[in-house]
Amino acid sequence: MMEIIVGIKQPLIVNTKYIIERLIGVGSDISVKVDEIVRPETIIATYWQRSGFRTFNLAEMFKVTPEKASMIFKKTLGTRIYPGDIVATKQELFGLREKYFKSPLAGILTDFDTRTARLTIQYLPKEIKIVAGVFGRIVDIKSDKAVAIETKADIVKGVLSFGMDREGSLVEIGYPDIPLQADQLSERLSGKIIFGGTKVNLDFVYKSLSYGIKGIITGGIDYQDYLALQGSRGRDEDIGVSLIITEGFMSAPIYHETYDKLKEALQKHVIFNAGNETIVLPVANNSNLVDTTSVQEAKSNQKYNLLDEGNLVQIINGENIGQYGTVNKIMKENLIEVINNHINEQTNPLNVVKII
Amino acid sequence: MNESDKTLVIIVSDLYIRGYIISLKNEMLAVLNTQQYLKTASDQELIQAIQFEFQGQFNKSVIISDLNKVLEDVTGKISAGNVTVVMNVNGATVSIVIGILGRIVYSKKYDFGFSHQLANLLLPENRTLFEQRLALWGYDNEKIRTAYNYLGNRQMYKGIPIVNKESEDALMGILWLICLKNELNTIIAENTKGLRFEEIPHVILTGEIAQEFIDQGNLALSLIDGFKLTGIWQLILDPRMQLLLYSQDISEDLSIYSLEELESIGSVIAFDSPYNWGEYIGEMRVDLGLSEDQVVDLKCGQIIRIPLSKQVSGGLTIKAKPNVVINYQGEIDKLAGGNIGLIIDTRNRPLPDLSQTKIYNKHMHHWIEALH
Repeated sequence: MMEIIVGIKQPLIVNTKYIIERLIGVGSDISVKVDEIVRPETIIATYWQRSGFRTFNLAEMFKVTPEKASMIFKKTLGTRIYPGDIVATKQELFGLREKYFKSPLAGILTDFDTRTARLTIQYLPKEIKIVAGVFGRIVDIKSDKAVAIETKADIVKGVLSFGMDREGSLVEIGYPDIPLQADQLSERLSGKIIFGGTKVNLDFVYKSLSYGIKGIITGGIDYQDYLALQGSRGRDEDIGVSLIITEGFMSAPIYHETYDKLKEALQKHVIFNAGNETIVLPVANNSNLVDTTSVQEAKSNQKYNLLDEGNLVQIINGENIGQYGTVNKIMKENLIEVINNHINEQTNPLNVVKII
Repeated sequence: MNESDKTLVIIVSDLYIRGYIISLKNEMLAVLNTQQYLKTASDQELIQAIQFEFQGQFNKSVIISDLNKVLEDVTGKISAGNVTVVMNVNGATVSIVIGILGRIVYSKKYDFGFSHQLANLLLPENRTLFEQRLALWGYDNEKIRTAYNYLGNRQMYKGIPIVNKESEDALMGILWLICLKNELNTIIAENTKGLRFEEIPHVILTGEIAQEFIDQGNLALSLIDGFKLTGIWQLILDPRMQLLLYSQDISEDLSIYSLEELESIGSVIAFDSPYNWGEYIGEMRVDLGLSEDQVVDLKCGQIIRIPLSKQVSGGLTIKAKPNVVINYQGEIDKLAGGNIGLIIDTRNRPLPDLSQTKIYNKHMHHWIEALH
């Protein structure tokens, strides 16, 4: 029996045990304990997030020397201000006209450098409440870093990704069998994770940024576009929206079982784990979390497997790129026959990946 | 090594692990058996698999994993009588080594290749060049997109093969980009002042990429244009990655021609002249051992192919107008043939850069056609 080894692809892992690490800020007040059962809305930690500061040069704004700028600064350091509060005023045209500087933000006046007339406004700290996001059980707490929650989830595995981890509710967009179009986007998708289509292009990505979309799941992307998104700093660069591509550098529909699973999770809160190309779809009815004996384990480290006749494969190179089919016949070491309802292709096994 | 010695040489490269049983046979290095595995398991497991498979067939075993060091050693040996440029292109790394009269004058290793480290090469400035070259080869935006996607999938999936012309051209463009990164003419000019050579210089392409190419005409053009070759060169392909076997202690007398499996693509003769493109610059007589010499009229800006098989060596005589030169310090009475044969290149040097699209649009398809 001829042995052929090919790459594998595991597009979907159903009902698996999954540990989600919810990142928390430094100095967080943690409100859960290890082994505690949590619901998606359970607050697991609270902290005050310092949001940075902005500086304004009053001398430049009012076109005066730094010494004169000290005269027009009307507030006391340490006071809290709100958007629209007047921070500095100057009389012009012999007192006939007054020029203002109004604060564009809510914050605290923390510093005014009289030598440079540079004013610093610290943003008000924001109280951040971290919710569990999933049904589950707390399994580990790392102070100031993360709270780990064991949950049951369906995992959609992509083949490549871009951007950082994000989460939001899942919305379907476009059609499963044609590329995503920028005119399918609208404001109602703000803050959402969207899925659909066979391919995404740069226009769509940039327009989705303007609508505040958090993540895009689709079949393919052109390598040219992917390289353009990467810029010069590699995949860690975040442009504000994350991408997970399920099929590769091609135009191809999302694997049908994956698509169906995504549809089941419509409007649910999902976790977009761009770092390892996965989307975590928490299982809604998670009543028996302690029992994880029946769940399927992800075979994440396995990359190659033996190919046999009857195996489901995806063609990853050539004319029928993206198509799924069954190995009908292993003809010789470097030739197999793949068939589906539309194709009958004889190809090199290196041109396919086995679906597990 | 004598004829009864059989050595198992295992070469660990980026995508594959290969095993070769080698021996000496009639003063030639003979490869008695080979096995190649795509790296679908750990290096150690695959090495053991090869050793197990060849059990009883060898009395000595060598593992080569530091390819760059071995490449320098081999280049030193085979450049004893000439200039030899060896280019070892693998999935994640590229090495270029230049030897002149047995001395290594240049050795450079890059952290990009034609598979999983491709993105390190496809930086914005290189992408512009790559796209310009494909456009000159007649590619529209859609075909360029397809070529890129093929490369992207190669980066993601190890070992996917060339499946059509687009995929081969894409890979050829990558090879051209890699060549372009080396100032070959400057390095050679600086290191050959006052030297004369008895053998014509070689460019040898080895590594995992060398087993992929089918179209050796385009391959020749990519090497000529990428390295901006001037003078006379023999282009050699090592499709079964056997050049590194020459690192083994075989015989002092072996030359590059002792490796049976190397394929000669052919010899390039690149003229330079001050004349305008299209202008007559002389004639060349090629002695192929037939009853009459073959006479070729030379016009500036042409590429001409003269079929000359690997087994035949040709001599040539050139009658040229004043100031037409071949930048080569050595004899030209013995030129090796190959799969393409003799390639006469009368394009003025330096070759125009790709921004001079008028010249390329007018001539590129002639140059490509000439080599097929």
